[in-house]
This record gives sequence, structure tokens and C-alpha cells, in this order.
Amino acid sequence: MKDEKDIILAIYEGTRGAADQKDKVWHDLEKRLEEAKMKEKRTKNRRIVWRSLAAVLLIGAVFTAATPSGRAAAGRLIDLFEPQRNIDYQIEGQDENGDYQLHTGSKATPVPDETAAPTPDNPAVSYVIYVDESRYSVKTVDGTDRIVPLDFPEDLPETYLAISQDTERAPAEVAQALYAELKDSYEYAVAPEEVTYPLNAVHVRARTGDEWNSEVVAYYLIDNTAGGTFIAEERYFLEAEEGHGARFNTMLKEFQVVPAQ
Amino acid sequence: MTQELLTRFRKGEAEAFRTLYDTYGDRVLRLARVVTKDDHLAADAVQEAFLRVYRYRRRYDPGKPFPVWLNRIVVNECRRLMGKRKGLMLVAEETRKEADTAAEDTSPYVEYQSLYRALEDLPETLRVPLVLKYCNGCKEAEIAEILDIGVGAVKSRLYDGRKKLRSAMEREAAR
Repeated sequence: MKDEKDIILAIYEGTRGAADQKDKVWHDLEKRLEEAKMKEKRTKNRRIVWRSLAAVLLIGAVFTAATPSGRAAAGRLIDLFEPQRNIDYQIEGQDENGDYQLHTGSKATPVPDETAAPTPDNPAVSYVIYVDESRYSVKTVDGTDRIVPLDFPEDLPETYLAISQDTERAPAEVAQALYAELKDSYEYAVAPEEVTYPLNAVHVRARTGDEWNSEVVAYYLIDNTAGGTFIAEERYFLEAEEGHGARFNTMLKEFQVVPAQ
Repeated sequence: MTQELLTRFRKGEAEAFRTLYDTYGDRVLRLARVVTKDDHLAADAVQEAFLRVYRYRRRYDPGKPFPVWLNRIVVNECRRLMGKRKGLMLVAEETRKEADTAAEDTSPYVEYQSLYRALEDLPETLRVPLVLKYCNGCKEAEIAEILDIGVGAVKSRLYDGRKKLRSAMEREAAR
């Protein structure tokens, strides 16, 4: 090898076949680009319609949900959410995009007596969330909704996103109680703080250590607009922070409080 | 690369996007070929990469060099497709070797072909920094950003890569 110029010439010579495909790649790219532009336009229009409708009705419905007559009048607001949403997100620095499916809180199903007063088992408000069903399934465990990874190895620490509701206490109060518990049982615990990502909430987190499989728990305490709190509990292990942790946050970003049906 | 072109690209102007492809398409196809060692896979990776570039154009930070962003997407796309087609790669590798041997007798660039084969035989960690530097004209700091490694690691990989190429060519000459 004489000098670095030889490396340049060798690369140019060796990759000539690939470079010769430039026009063909553009030709194919142009077709797919047209399809992408059409899809982008359709999604944008649909999103504007759905969000405008949902926003207008949500404001009125949540305010009236605390009263029996209001609850009866609220109707099926959930029907106004698009059944599937195309979401852009980032995983480990990589831009990703996928279709997420609408899920409602298990307590948002119709109750026998729509005009009954709200109780912990029959709350005034519920929620909707968009779930990446290609990777997760939704289960109800001990009365709590859990979003769990599909085909998850049994030997790894428990990994899930659970959503429950405390109808009695406000987010700050729940946060203080959880922080007191976490301080005793975890090596590191971070005091409650208000966050805006993935959503507006009071955030408390803790972990058992610095190993790849150290258990991590992250709570997002969300105002349920009726004097209580939605508790979003993320559990995973340290190495999965940028994987499952980021995916849970992407789903939480779409979380929305709605009147229970 | 003017700022005005990049602004037009971020707004989704088709003509600006085409200009970017015309400017960088050739270089990233060569880069993709070195990463994947396969012409077809390289073409697929570049097509996917440019689609991503278009789809996520608003996330491009105009304060950073466009080629760094593009090269990073191309390298990641190559790796993703290679992972997807792992089984097929073994077949592609064999086909490549046969094609290279067949072309060897007639090409006037026999010396460069041997050198290129030696480059392709290097592990990905060594050959990708070499092609980014010598073919795509990236600086060491830019290579570090594209590959998400430190500048020190880039320097040592470039050094090791050149050294291994030199040894390979000396062995070739001694035959």
C-alpha cells in the first residue's frame, strides 16, 4: 500500500457497483416518498379532526363527570378517540415510528347504574392510553391495569407499566407516601418532583443499585381532575431504561383522563 | 451546503430533498456497501435511510452538519437490515466472493481490488471509520458522533485499520 490515496481509490473501485445504483434507488425512493407524503397528509387531517372533537367534549365532560346527572349525560366520550394512532418516538437515540392501539382503563367500562355516585370501585373518571400492541399486552392484575411485554424472559426483573387510581388523595399526598416507602426499601430514592415529560405529573423514582439488572421503579402521579390521582407505575431493570423505560414513557405521553362511562 | 437549502428541506420541499440526494446519494451508497458488503442491501439501506431523513426532517438540527446526521442514519439502517437478514448474509457473502473472483481477471484495477477485499475483511469496527474518513471526508470528531464513540476510539480504530490493511497488502505482495 503506497499511501492513503490507495485506500480512497480502492474504496471507490470496490464500491462502484453500489454507487451505480444511485438512479434506481432514487426512482424507488420517489415512489415511496409519494406514498409517505399521502399518508402524512391523511394522518394529519384525521388527527386534527379527532383532537378538536375530543378536546371540546373532554373539557365539558370532565367537569360534569363528578355528578350523577353529568355522568349520565357524558355519553361514550371514548368513542371519539381514534382507535389507532401513529406515533413518532425515540429509542436509544434512534427515531422510530409505529401504530399504537387505543385502550381504556378497565374501570371505564359501563357500570350497571350510570347515575350512581362515584366510589373507589366505581370512580367518576377513567383514562385512555395508546398501547404498542406489537410489543405489549394489557392485563388486569389485582384490579390494576398492567401493560406487560410480550414473550418476556422469566429470569429478568419484573417489567411492566401499571395504572391504578387513588380516588381519595391528591398527587402530592400520594407522592410523599410512596417516597417514604421507597426510601426504606431501595438503595437510591429521588424525592418527588413535578415533571412535564412524558406528561404533567408528580414524579418519584427509586432503584436498588447500579448493576445492569438493578430494579427500577418510577411513579408518575397524575391529577385525575376529581380530587384524586392516577398512579402510573413503571417497573423495569436498569439496562432496560432506554428500551422498555422509554417505550412506557411513549405510551404515557398519550395518557388522557376521561369520564368513566 | 447552504443554510437556505437545509431550511427548504426541513419545510418538506421536494426539490431541496432531491438536491440533498444528488449531493450525498453516491457517498452514502458507497458507505452502505462497505458496511453491509452487499450491493442490494446497501441500496435498500440507503432508500430506507432517505425515507427516514424525509420523515424526521423536522428533527434535524440545522446547527449541525447535515452529512453527520445522514451518515449516522445510514449506518444504523445498514445494521438494522443486516440484523434482519442475518441468515441471508452468509449466502450474499459467498455470492460476493464468487463475483469478485470472476471480475478479478479482467479488471485493470487488480491492485485496488486486493486492497478493497482486505478492507472488507476487516471487522466492521475498523472498516467503517476508514470509509467515513477516506470516502466520505468526515473529520475524526464527526466519525465519533456518527458511530457514537469517543474521538480517541476513532483515532485508534483508524490506526489499527490502516495497520491491518498494510499487513494484508504486504502478505499479498509476498505471495
